[in-house]
Amino acid sequence: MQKHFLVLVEDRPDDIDLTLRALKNNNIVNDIVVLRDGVEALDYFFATGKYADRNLDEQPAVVLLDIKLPKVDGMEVLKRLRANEQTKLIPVVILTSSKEERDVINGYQLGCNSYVRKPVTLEEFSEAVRNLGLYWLLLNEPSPQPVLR
Amino acid sequence: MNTNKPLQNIRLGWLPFVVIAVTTLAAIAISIYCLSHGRVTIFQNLFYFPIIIACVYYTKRGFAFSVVLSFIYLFLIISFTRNSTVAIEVLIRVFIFVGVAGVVTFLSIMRKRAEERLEATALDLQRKTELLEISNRELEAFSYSVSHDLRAPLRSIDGFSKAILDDYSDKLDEQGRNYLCRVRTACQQMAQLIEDMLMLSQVNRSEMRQKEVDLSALAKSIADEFMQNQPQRKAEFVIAPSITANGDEQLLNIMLHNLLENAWKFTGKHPSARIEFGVTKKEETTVYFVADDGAGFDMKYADKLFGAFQRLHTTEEFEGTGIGLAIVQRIVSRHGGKVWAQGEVEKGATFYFTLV
Repeated sequence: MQKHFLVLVEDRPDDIDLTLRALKNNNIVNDIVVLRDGVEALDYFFATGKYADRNLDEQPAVVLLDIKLPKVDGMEVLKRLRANEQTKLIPVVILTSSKEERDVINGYQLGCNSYVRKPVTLEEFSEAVRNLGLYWLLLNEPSPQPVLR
Repeated sequence: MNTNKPLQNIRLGWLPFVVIAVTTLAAIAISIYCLSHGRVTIFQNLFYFPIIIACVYYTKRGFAFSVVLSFIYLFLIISFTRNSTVAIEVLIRVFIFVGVAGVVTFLSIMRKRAEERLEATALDLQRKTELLEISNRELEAFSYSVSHDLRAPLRSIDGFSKAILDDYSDKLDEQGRNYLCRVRTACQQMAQLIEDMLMLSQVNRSEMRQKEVDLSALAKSIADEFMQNQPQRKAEFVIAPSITANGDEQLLNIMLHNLLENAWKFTGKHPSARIEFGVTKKEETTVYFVADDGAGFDMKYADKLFGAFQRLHTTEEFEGTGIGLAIVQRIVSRHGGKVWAQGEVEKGATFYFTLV
């Protein structure tokens, strides 16, 4: 049985708080792991650096990934996740400010499962987070972990 | 870049010089031969040839060379024939040669200068194009950054204002809540402004995908959307059937949306409204139009309608950022067309546009 938890990769503290608040207010009480830049995200997913003793059998039900991140950007994180056998099936939702066509196309080409633009008003933002939470944590059936030889 | 090289720049090496020398010698030899046999010959005119070549290729130096050549020719003929009639005839001829050489040299110099100017202009143009490309790329980076970075703090301002309203509203009085609501309204206005600015820059740089577009169908679906959003309004859309145009569907849709949205907005204060989308002919050109019977405008401000951020009404009267019509104008001009408007205060406005 997999644990249904969510990973949020986001560098802006305000956005982290607003996202966590929206999840809480919408009664989504699953565990949430917050990663604050691209390097930390890669460390987490590949159990390196400060996440060296993390159990790689436990993967999140969904990753909410911002594009603009310090050090390594979101697109690069997505590319590395998709290039690795063990992480390539993890659902990734790009959650970002930009709706530039090239970002959207690039995101889908790199294999994101969904692309959501953060709305400015809190009501819309909260609604977006609620929908994402309900869909990916409750409705969606994640792929079983690939068996590695 | 410049394939049209000036004649002087073509490297012919010694060739012109050799041609000049050979023709000069030939002309002199033939002339002397003919004169010694007492005949005047048209082969003397062969002498024009080296003179013209010298003047075209070497301009001023060529001219001097031609003059020297002519006098050598004169000297040789006179010393050979010792006949005064012939000498005078040859002298006249030499003056004609020199005159021709002068004219040809003058024309060559003029042409050379014109070519240099042309080349300078072409270089200048190339530099300007490069500068323009750089500034375009900068603009692109700028609007990308606006899209990302300007919205993020707005989300914080709006988000935490709402959070205070939600979580601490019992600690605030009516005025405090009112102030926070105003903060949020301003945030939303700014978000809309950013959105519209992005749209304006996107309209400028998006790639055009030309195809036949059913404008009537686009207008119809836009009108339906408005009616569904505000079903209480008494408004009638009159859309002429099967109007088509060649252009980029996405851009044309944005343009029609903005024009119809304007019409919808500025008829909002009237009890009923009639909005028409149609087409007419003006001297063989197809002219499309969107007409309404709404608030209209004073024709003396007609030139301000299409400028970005220009507004003819206060935001309290009619909301908006003043970018909609600027976007319309960019889209129309990207299609090679024109847009103009006619209106009268409280009697409605009509926006005409062409697409080539």
